[in-house]
Amino acid sequence: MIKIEHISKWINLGNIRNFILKDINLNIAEGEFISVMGPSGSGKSTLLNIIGMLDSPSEGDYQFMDSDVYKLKEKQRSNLYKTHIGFVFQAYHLIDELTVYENIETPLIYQNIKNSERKAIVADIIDRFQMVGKKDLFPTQLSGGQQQLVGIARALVAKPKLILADEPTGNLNSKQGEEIMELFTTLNKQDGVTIIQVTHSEKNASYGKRIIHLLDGRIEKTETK
Amino acid sequence: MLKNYFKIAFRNLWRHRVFSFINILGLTVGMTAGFLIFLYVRFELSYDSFHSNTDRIYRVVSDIKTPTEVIKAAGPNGCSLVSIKLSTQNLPKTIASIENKWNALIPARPFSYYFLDEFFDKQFRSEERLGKLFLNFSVLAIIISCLGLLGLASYSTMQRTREIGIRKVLGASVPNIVNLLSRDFLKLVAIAILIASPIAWYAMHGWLLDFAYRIGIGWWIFVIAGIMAVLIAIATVSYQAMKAAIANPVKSLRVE
Ligand SMILES: Nc1ncnc2c1ncn2[C@@H]1O[C@H](COP(=O)(O)OP(=O)(O)OP(=O)(O)O)[C@@H](O)[C@H]1O
Ligand SMILES: [Mg+2]
Repeated sequence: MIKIEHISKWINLGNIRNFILKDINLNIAEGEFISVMGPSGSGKSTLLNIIGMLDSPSEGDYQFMDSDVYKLKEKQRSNLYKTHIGFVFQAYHLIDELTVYENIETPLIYQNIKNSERKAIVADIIDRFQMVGKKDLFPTQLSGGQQQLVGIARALVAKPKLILADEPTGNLNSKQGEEIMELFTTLNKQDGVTIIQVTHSEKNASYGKRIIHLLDGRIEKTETK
Repeated sequence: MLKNYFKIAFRNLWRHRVFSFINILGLTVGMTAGFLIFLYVRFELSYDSFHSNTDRIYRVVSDIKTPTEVIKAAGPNGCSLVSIKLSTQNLPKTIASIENKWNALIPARPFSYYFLDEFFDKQFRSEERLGKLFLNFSVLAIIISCLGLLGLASYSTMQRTREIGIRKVLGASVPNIVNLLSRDFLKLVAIAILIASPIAWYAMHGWLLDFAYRIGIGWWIFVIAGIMAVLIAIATVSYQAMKAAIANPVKSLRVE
């Protein structure tokens, strides 16, 4: 599903090349569950952004579902992205102007799903995340953990084939974190959803079948279970 | 989808109440001025053609050749004002001779005269001056309100960079984003048009009452002027919107 070859990203500070990612090679098949770990600043979010086509590397090739991402037109890429990828941000990134309900609904709007259908899907997922009482609140009226849950619900609502989650449980208590991990596992096992998550917690990382350790922009080691 | 857009646009207007108010005010002033210019220009253009059958109007002139006859026609008890069509050759002599005749025939009334073309000229000169002044101020007002719109557009797009970034990540296309941003402004413009139209109508109506013959103010004038205002607004806003929509979402999201 994902094939990354020799991807590097750097920024130039004067004459010095400052590598954020250096020569990353990665092959991810459909239906995998992968955890990415590494110290702060090791490039985890950057890698995830590149996989999610939100950012582009300075160098390297990327094939997503057999199409060469960097040779696609902007429109095709955004279409590919829109229909296949759900992104959970480290910093939630909810839209402050929209209520919980509307935030979750937004991806469906952009996929041109009919109003009635949308209502049913959103109602269902709000129910699943036990946020029925909160659906008309605005993000600023929620706790950090609740915002994170909304962010996750929003990433899942369009039933993406690939979920990219940047520290999805960073602000959740351990029970909630566990529930999310269970949810990811179910999606992965039952629906064959591919999941790539960044995490600092060994315990959460262990839900993944493969754990990639990043250090200073390089893949330090890979554990497979 | 449409209902959604409206709801959110109004929420945004409300969120930036003061800004919205100032801008609607500015836009209203500009738009009123715009309407007035439009009406004024139309008035000027229709100056000679307010009558639908202009080309079929004739003036009936009685065939009187000498000044004496004319003044006799006026008579000592007749009207005190006589208009005479003169040949412009040797004008001073003609006038002197008319004065002589007048004084001889109607000594009770002093002779005074003016030229009709000068009279009309004077009457419409003041309107013209007013019109020019008006035009200048209107253009100024429109420029100011456009600048205001541009300012608001850049300010609010800047404020919404994060939201735009998120929306792109959620699958919004460039047209989606441009739409979203422009719609807000079209709403401002629409409100301003609604406020400006009656004001412009009232002002124009009052002014036109001074004229014996006047043009009507049709509703279509407001429609055309409104469409022009909307086009100007779109041109002003879409550049900003486009810029925001094309930007890399990761960059937009890092700005916090
Ligand atoms: N646009 C940029 N300009 C300059 N430096 C950048 C940019 N993007 C990322 N970096 C740098 O790249 C490095 C990796 O950033 P990244 O956000 O990927 O780290 P991370 O592994 O996700 O860390 P954390 O665990 O804290 O989230 C950091 O040192 C960061 O300062
Ligand atoms: Mg990170």
